[in-house]
Amino acid sequence: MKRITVLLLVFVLALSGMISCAPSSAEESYKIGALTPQTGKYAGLGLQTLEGMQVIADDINEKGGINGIPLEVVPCDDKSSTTGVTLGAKKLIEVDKVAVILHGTVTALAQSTMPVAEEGKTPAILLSGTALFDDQLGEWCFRPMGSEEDYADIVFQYLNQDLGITRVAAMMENSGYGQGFEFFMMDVTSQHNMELVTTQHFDPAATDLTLQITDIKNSSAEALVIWGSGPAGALAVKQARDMGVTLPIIAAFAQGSSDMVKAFGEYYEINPSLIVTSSKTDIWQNLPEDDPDKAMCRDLANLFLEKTDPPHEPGFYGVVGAQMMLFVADALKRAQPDPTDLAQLRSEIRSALESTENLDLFTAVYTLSPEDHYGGSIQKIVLVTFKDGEKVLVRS
Amino acid sequence: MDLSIVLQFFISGVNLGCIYAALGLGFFVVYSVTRVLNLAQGEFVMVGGMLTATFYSMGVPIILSALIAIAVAGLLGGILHCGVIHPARNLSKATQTFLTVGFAFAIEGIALLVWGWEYKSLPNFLSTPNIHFGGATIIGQTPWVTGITLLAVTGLFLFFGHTLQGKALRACADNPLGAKTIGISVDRMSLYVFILAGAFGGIAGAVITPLTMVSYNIGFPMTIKGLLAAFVGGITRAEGVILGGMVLGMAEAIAAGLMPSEYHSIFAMIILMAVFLCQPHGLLSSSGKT
Amino acid sequence: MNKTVELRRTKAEYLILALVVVLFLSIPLFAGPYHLAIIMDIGIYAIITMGLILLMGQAGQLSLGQAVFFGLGAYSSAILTTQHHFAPWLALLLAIIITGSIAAGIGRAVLRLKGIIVSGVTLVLNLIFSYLVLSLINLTGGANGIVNIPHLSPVKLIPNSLFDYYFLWIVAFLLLAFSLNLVNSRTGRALRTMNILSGGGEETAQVLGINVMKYKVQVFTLGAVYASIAGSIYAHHLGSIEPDIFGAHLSLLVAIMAIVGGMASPWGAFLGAALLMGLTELLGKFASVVVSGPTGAYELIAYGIILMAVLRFLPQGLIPLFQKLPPQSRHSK
Repeated sequence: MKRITVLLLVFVLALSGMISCAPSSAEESYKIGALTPQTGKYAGLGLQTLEGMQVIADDINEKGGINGIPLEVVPCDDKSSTTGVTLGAKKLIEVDKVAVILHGTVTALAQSTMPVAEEGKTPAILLSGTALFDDQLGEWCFRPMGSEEDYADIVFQYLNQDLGITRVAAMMENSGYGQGFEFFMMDVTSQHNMELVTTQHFDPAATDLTLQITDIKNSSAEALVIWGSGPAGALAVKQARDMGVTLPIIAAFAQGSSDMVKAFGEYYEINPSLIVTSSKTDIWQNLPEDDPDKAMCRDLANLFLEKTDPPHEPGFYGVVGAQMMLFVADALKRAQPDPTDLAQLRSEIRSALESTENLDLFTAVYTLSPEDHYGGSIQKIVLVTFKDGEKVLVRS
Repeated sequence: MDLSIVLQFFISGVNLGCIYAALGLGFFVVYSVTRVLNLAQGEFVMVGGMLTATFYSMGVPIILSALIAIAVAGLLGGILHCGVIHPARNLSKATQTFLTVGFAFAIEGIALLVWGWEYKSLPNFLSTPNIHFGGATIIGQTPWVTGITLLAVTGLFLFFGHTLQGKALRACADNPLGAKTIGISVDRMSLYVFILAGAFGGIAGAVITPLTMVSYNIGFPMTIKGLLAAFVGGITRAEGVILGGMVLGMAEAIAAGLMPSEYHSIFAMIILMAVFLCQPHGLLSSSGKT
Repeated sequence: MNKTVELRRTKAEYLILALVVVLFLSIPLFAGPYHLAIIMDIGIYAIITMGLILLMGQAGQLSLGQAVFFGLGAYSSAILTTQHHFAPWLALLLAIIITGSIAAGIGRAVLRLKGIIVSGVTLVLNLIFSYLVLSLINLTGGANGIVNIPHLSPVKLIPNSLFDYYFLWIVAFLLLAFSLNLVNSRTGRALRTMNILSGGGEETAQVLGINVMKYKVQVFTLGAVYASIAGSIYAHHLGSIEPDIFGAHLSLLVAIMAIVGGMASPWGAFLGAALLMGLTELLGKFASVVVSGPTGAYELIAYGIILMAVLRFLPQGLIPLFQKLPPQSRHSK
């Protein structure tokens, strides 16, 4: 009998979440679930997107909310794991009763949000840089981000048209990020009549890339494309320069993040300087005055400086988080839904997101439709390089 | 095959091998005396790297930064012993092993609070330049990793072979009960090895950070790498750990050159399995004792 | 020990099982999807942990490779259904066969080794598995994993998640009943005879004429089959899998669940899984009340400290809380 008692005790402990200490907020608000990794492998990415979301939400609230109704960000740690994503999304939908979920994460984890959002009939905006699963987004999920297809095109177009290069070597990270890029890279290079002379791979946690680089050194490549999401990509740049590789190198967003630049800046500037894909917010000071996005990027940077502690400008993922929140804010402004009826609220936000038209944001202009939940029609991704510790525009 | 590739194989192999070995040494010292697998070993590495980078960025000379970091990591080892392992000394070794996992979680959380998520890096020690020869390159930090790892092992040998404390430790490793009867305090010895393991972790963290960068969450991957080196070489002998690290590093390097690069890690792992199955107790094992 | 007492105990154990089954089957009547998901995860972890407890608690072998078999089950199910269009239930059965045969092979090789080396080798298995999954992109989808895995439910009579819930817990309880049976059987006695942890030893067992290797491989394979079943259900339930889930950290988590729950009885698996899962979710819930902003780091610290406290003060796990007699003296010899 003792066993039953204690079993029940453990059982009650595990379920004690059920006694929903429902945060019964007296004022009405739009609850936005911010599902991001705060711990684990992708904590860096997740904490930055969360910060971006919060900065925009604070700003909107200070200006009186959306038609007088404030936004309430409900953060939830997905622990960089599929289990965490599923439980987190269900918790946000059922316990926190959010109107919409913003999932700032990576492709492999974003996939797990989709069925939960579908089943819970709650709109979800996913962060994933791949177009590989766009056809599975279903009714409730949106992915207004960028696609490798677009990035790959910008990179190889530049190599081919501006530098006149035809033979390229590639170093791809063994991750969803590298894998997606590699998939589209094949197409794009053949479109531009370029030849991939060698494709090397590296582990996201690799520390010694000298063998892969030796191979590239011995090949006939005229340029090197390095695509990674973590420090190994930046290490590859450093070690290539250490080994005397003098080819032009193009790398991904992550290699241009502030911590990597701080660590490897001097290697990035070894002639020819490293080129990375980037958003315009990264280099807004150096944009020409007539650039239509300059004001928007400057405002975002100033907003970050004002709201963050210690004050800093947004990194790429901070921009992405901000962009996700603006996306929802735009839909809310248009739909003006009533926050009290949850099912109605969710469905109205969903339709509003779907009818987003010419929404001008930091990485692209978005026009969505029931058939297209990606919708990045005009890309604003730029290529930047490094000079005297600063990023300068190469090509937009 | 091209000479430059062969040379680079060798350089890479030794470099990776020394990294593995440096990570594995901490497991050896703790395990040989206490029979506990310290799964928080990687956290010492993380703390060592993080602190060195932090002090260096505050303007402290790099060698001094590293020494402070190593001391703090050693202290952390002491804390792990006094606060966690010692109170649980009568529990099973498996329980003690998993206690170190709890400690690792806590340290990782604290590191995230203190340092945030950003990666930190260091320049090569004393700005050692890269060495080029025969089409291959030795990156400036590599000689430091190799040298300091070998120095640490030599130090261990001298300590174990020629000092009273070292001999006492060896006695504990060979026969804890016997050691107790002749008046050696096994508890004190156990404290020493945890401090030593912390310091070794700190050393590893400080010397590899210029090559690998460091962030709050590298602890667990480092633990796994170190465990591999320790298991392959034989966790009961210091030279076994070095050999194990070298085998792993060489396997990884050779595989990286021979196989399409996405398969090279598997190849390294298969070599590893083969070693395990032929030499179950590690390449260098003392009389098959576990 | 007196035979009638043992019999009565066994009966009581099954009675408790029946009560708990009824309790669990009635949960969906009052719980929402989030809590059902937690309880499902507890069930998934409990099944994997049960396999490990049989191996650790009975045969005294600490394996740190359960995630591999969990992953093998999940990937076999996913590949068979999405690429070869097998029915999910058939895929689940085939996955058991595939995982079982691989485990039997691995067991034969690995279990020749003794003590902590087994933990080391099985830990390496995790790495080999994750590198394999990452490399065989055409088969496994690489780092992005596999999506659109069909649901187990053959007909749409009840919602999928409800079907999965009932299916999982019925399977979990059947496996529990089977494990309890095994522990009290001839095989269980043979296994415990060679368990160093309960005062036996392989030499003793061999002297008694027990084929040590055969029993060890059998129980290792059985543990793998448990994990495979959990993996298949997990894959069909979630609809997508990615390789990160099946890493060494899961093997470690399962081992911790086994120790925290208590290795003396298969019940320990359920206690350990419930405690750690419940703890994670509760911390997530309360951390945001105590501190503002991102709470992940605080949760991690609290989790580590509580884990240490549980291990320190309940070294035999939660099981002894439920039993008057220490389990070893009850069962062995």
